[in-house]
Amino acid sequence: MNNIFKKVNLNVLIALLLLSQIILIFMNSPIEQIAQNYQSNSLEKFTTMISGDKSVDIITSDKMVKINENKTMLIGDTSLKNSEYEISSKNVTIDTHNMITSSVKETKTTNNQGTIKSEGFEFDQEANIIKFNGKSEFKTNED
Amino acid sequence: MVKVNSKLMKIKFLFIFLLFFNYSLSFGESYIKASNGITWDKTNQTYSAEGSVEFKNNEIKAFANKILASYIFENEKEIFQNVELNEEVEIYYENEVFKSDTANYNKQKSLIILRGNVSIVSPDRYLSGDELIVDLEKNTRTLKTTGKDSLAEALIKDE
Repeated sequence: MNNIFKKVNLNVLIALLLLSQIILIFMNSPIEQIAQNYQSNSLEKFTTMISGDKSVDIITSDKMVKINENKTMLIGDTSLKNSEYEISSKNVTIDTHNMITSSVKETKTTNNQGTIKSEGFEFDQEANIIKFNGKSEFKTNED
Repeated sequence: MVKVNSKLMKIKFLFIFLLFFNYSLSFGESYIKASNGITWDKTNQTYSAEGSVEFKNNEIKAFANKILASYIFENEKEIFQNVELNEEVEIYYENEVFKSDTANYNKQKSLIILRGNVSIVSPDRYLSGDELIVDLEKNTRTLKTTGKDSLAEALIKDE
C-alpha cells in the first residue's frame, strides 16, 4: 500500500515538474521578449524638446515607439514645432540615419507666410527642404 | 426695465456680420494650389509647385504646370517677390489673359515678362508674338515678334 502511494506521489511530482518546465519555457519565449522590448521602448502622450543650432524643436505625439536604433514612429496626432513652422500630422516616421522625417497622412503646416495643407510630407533635415506631397494648397497671409 | 428694440438689434448684428464677412473676403486671397505637391526650400527661400498649379494674389491669377516662387523677409514675414511660371502658362489680369510657354512675374516691380508663343486675349483684341512685357504699374504692354529678317515691336497703352 505504501509503495503504491510512493509511486503515485512520485508520478505527481514528475508531472508537476514537467508542467512547471512547460510554463517556464512558455514565459521566456522570444515572442514575449519582443513584446516586452516593444513596450519598454514606447511612450504614451509623448513630448520632447530638441535644442538645435538655430532654434528649439518641440515634438508632441500621442505615442512614441522606437522601432530600432535609427527609426522612431510617432503614432497618432503628432506635432513638430519650432520658431519657423508647425507641422501637424499623424503617424510620423523619424529616420535619424537618413535625417528624414515623413508622413503619408493628411498634413497641416503653419509658418510665417501662411498655411499649407497636403496629403503628406517629407522633411529632409540635411537639405533643409520640406516636400508637401500630393494635392497641396498653400494659403498665404499676403494682403 | 429697458425695452430692447429687437428690430434694431437684428440690424446691428447684421451690420457687424457683413463687416466681418467683407473683411474675411478682402484677406486670405493669396494662394498656391498644386496637384503634385509643393516643396519649401528654406535655404534658398523658395516654394516650387508641380502638376496643375494655380497661383493667386491681389494682382493676378495664374495657371502653369510648374511654378517657382521666391520670397524675402519683411518685418519677419515672408513676402513673395518673384514667381517663375513654366509650361502652359495662363495669366489673368483684370479683363486680359496672357498665354505663353514661360513667364516671370515680379511683384515688387509689378512686371510680367512672358516668352514663347505669347498671346494677349481681351474683349477687344487678340495679339500674338514671341515676347510680351506687361507693366502693371504703367499699364503698358510691349509685344515683340521676331521674323526671319525683321523684328516688330508694338507698344500698347490703354487710356
